[in-house]
Amino acid sequence: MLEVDKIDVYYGDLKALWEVSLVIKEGEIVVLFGSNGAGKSTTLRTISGLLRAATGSITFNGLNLMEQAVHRIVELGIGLVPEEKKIFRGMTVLENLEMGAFLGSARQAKNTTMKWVYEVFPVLKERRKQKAGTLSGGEQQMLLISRALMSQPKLLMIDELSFGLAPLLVQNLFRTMRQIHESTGISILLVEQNVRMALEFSDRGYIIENGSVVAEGRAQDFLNSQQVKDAYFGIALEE
Amino acid sequence: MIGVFYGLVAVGLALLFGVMRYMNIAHGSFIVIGGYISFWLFTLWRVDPFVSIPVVMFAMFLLGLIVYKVLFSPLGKFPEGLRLGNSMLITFGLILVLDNVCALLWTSDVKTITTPYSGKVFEFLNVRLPFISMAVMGVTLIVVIALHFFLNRTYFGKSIRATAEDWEAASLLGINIGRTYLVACGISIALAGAAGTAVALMYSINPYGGLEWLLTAMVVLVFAGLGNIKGVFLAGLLFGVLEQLSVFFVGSHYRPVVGLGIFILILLIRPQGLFKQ
Repeated sequence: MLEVDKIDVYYGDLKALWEVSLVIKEGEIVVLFGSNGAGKSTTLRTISGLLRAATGSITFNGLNLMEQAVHRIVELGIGLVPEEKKIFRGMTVLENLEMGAFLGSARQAKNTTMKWVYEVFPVLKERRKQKAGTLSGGEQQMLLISRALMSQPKLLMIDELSFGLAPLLVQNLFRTMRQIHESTGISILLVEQNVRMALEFSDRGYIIENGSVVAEGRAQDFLNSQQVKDAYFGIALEE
Repeated sequence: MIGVFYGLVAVGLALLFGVMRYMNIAHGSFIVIGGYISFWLFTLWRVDPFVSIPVVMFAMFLLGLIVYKVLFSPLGKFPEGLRLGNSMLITFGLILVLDNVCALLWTSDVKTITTPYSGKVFEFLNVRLPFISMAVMGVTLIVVIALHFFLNRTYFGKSIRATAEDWEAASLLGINIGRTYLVACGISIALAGAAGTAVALMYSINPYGGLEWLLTAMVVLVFAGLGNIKGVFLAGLLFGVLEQLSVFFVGSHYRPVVGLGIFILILLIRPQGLFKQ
């Protein structure tokens, strides 16, 4: 479905990604993990078109994404839930969701999708007339995910599902994401600090360090690997 | 009463700044051009200025699209921090061009639109109200309410607000940022056109009068605190009332002094503006 082939990405003169390659198949859940500043978010931002790769190629269902504008990439079916809480604070929850369904086909299906989103996250329905800035951190994250889902993506990329949230809440969010995945068959590419939880949720994983992919494998194998446990499970153990 | 009009002038400027973070120093010059267009329509074809407002707004909207395409969109390649400064530089240059084009086309004589009903006065509960001012106020209110409706009720209007809040998040939802900027720029300059018609009716226009209106608009913006259109409009109202009151107390010679005095006072006491949450 999505093929990223040997992309190099620069921030000005600074090289952030070195020949990063990854593949996501239809209906797969893939997690990208590694230490802070390793280039995980950069990878997602490049796929969504916010950053441009200098070399390499990105194709989605056979279409070259390298030259496409950000809004076109969304139209093709790739949604990104960005890391910082990028909700429209001054707009209501309902308006935020409406913005998610901005594009043609999504706008036609708006009411159906919204009804479904409200079923998945009932709290958003309760708060639909509230300004999004007044939501709690967890609710904002739910709104971000829902807003991305409103555009009916085929591939949903999530940058830090757990960022700044209480562990229990994160567990619930993962459970909900699992339900969403099972009911829609949507593919998910996840970037996550909470490595253990993310691996339990995923089919496959990639480790990124210093801007390159250093390991790739089945999530189950990573979970069993002592090396991965030592290097990345610290955060989960502290809970 | 003049406050309603100040509101209109400032809202146009605020829209462009709020959405694109561009400061259009030439906003006043666009007001002047709008005034001249309606002046032309009136003297050449005897089109009533109130009838010509939609025509002027449409023409100015198109002009706004051109301005965006030619001048503003190339600014997008600068890093965010440099865009504001560069937009000010470019539009400052634009003032020189526009003002002199106006002087060439319409000479630097002061022009004004004098309609058959220009001197008419209403009498209402012993208060004498000039007809033109009342009509301008009505039209301005309609325009601002229409803008408010557009931004809050229509899909495209909401996408303009979303882009203003966070263009990156907006683009990630499939909103075409370039198109949003284009339309916002067109609307901003169309509003300047409407204001220009009002200026030509109530006061007079000359090619170099734009800066005065820009100054007023910027004072109102600081007054309101950059952000929401409603706040800017209210600040325009308030500023107009204060100015008129000051004329009553200290005389009209000191009107600009009072205006700028308030400006400094606001900056000292509440630099974030009156209506900023």
